[in-house]
Amino acid sequence: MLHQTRRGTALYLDANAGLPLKKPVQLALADFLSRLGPNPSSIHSFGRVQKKILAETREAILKSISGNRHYDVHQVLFASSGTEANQWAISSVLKSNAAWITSNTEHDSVLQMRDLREPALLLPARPDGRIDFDALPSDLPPEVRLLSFVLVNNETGVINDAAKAIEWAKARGVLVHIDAAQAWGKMNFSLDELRPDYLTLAGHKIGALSGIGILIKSDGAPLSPLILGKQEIGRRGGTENVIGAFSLKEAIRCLPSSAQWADWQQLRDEVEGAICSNIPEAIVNGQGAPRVPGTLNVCFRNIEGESLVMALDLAGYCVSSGSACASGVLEPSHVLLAMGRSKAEALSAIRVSWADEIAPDDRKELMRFVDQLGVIVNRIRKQTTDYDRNDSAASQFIGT
Amino acid sequence: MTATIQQHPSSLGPKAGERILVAMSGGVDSSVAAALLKTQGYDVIGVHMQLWDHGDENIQRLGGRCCSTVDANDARRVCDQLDIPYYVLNTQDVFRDAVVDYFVHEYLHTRTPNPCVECNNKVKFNYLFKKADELGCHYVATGHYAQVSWDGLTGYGHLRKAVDAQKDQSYFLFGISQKALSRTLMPLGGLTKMQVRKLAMQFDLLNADKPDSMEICFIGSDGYQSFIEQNVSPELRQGGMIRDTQGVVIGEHDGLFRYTIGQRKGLGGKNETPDQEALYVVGFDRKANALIVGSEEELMHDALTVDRVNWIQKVDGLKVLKCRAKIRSRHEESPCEVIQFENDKIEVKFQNKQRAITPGQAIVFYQDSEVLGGGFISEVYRG
Repeated sequence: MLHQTRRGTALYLDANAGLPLKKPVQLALADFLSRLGPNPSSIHSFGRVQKKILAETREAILKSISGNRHYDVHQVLFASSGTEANQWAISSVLKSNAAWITSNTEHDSVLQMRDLREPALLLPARPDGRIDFDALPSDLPPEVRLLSFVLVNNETGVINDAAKAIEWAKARGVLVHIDAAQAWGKMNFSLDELRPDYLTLAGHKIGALSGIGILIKSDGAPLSPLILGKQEIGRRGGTENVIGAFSLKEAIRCLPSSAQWADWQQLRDEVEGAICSNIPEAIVNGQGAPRVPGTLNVCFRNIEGESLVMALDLAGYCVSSGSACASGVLEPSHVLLAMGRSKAEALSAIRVSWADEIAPDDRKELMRFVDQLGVIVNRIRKQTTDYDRNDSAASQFIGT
Repeated sequence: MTATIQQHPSSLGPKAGERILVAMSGGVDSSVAAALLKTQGYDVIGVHMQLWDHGDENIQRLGGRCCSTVDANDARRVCDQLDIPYYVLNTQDVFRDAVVDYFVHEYLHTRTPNPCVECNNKVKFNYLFKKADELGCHYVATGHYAQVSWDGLTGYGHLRKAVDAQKDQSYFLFGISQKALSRTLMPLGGLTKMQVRKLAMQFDLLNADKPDSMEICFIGSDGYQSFIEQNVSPELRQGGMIRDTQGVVIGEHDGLFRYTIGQRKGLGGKNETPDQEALYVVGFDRKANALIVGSEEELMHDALTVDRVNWIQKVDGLKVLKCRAKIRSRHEESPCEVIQFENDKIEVKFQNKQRAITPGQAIVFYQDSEVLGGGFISEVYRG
């Protein structure tokens, strides 16, 4: 987690946003660069080598998520990002004027699809962050053809009850889209068992290059191109991102084991416990729900927390919070709002996440982080209570 | 190139390598301020305050106005160049309450507001300091053209006009308290605009050639009247009569907010012919919702009361203060006397009559180049 930056050492605690390239991946890439040919579509030997890499990567993906029995490599497709993969799948169903159901805790890329068609039902979140699949109606609303939900929530790490949702959908002939971007490399799940019609993954979440996303689709699930062209079985035009695929293949080799997950869990519980006992009025978001082991989302009461992430950055800790708009202004997380947090609480939230091997010093560094977090929260809380917005400079800062 | 860059007595001012928050609009002035402080070895943090959401206009350059997303990105790129951290602060709520609402409210009460003053008072030298504290910065620096210095013995702060008289912004800063002043740096006060642009080029800053923003930052290209029309329901800004100082009705107006003291426009009065004396807005009758027009001579006054006063320098409330005052930013200071009352209300008498003293505007008191303090013009009359 420790990295060298220009301002000194920094603790990278934002794995859910993306992992820095793992060392073995870097080395493999460096070696591969000299063999990188421009275009897999070329018929000559250069093209064939690139095509081979794409094929091998598709195989590796299926293998890593146990999808070899019911899915084939021609069903594993590459996109530029998880966002694109999500929208590729959803728009394909919606363009036939079908209705859909999703939840209010989805990733922004899915919720953007509300511009195409407002969902017939927006499933609410439970206070612990899980999607409330009990709210799925027993009678299917007219024209609903798609249920789209996230397997693991990117903000809280909460794991949703996929089996329940899938059972409901299959019984009614509804297509299922699972956004598994945050699940890959953080928990065990089996494509063959879930049998979704669409599944989305993203490369940079497992330490591959960013710029590559994956859509897996079942035979028979509709898929229309967003970009026209012959690549990806004629469903996505554009020269393929071979180096991205290669980095994926290498990153899959480094996916963590269950033993590592157990390690992460223990560390997370320790950090969570330390924060809750040392910092007053801390709320852990998602506590009580099943969560992936390396994610911790906590917010604070009675604090104007917008600058919390900034102050932590200046202290050398890279965490994330809510979401930022185009200009960089912080906005409250819709996921936390859906869980019942107030706007102020949501603005004070920080997400701490890791998804890689824990180094020997990491534990010590994380405890130091908890200390610093306490100091900074105190400092900002003091400003929140001392500052009186209605005082003009003349009175609030009046000198003697 | 030698430039007069602010130096502090060694016991005052930031220590070597100390963390300083620089407010960066994305314009060349604040960028050069940040660059100068960086070269002086401080731990500079660049911060852009998103004051206003320009909606669809956010993704383009706004010409004479700040602050679209493009400006935020300009500031970001400068911070990349300077290799300093950069953050964006959401100050929209504070700004709307303190500046925009104030702006509209003043117009609806027949006063001409000065939003830049209120922005300084409530946002830049108030709210921003709170953010500075949260981020562990004691000092806050801006690209304002004004000079801040501290007395070597007492530590007392002084605010003076900038060296560049054309660019001097000290008028807008009269509301700063001593407490804020003790934490404020204005590195550009001793430089001319031309020197600043030269420095920008020397630093190779990407916005070295960016034009200055001159307009009110939150008013769209449609102008302030349009803004008020869109934000105030018609019943609160109704039209009414125009009359002269004798009470004779000479026309109609479509909302008093469209006018300011001293304004001369085709007022639509049937009395005004080319060889007739021109008519000017000389006052407002709020109760009757009437616009009062008069001759140029009727615009001249020499006495006024001022409220919401802030004194930067200690002033003896029991003595008459002889100084010079500006009644708007583009005005040459004129000699006057200040008589202090209690409750922060004071009376000012100019030696000579001044044209179009406007309630709502700021009046700022100078002694040589030093800002003593200032306030908002309340009532105007003849002494």
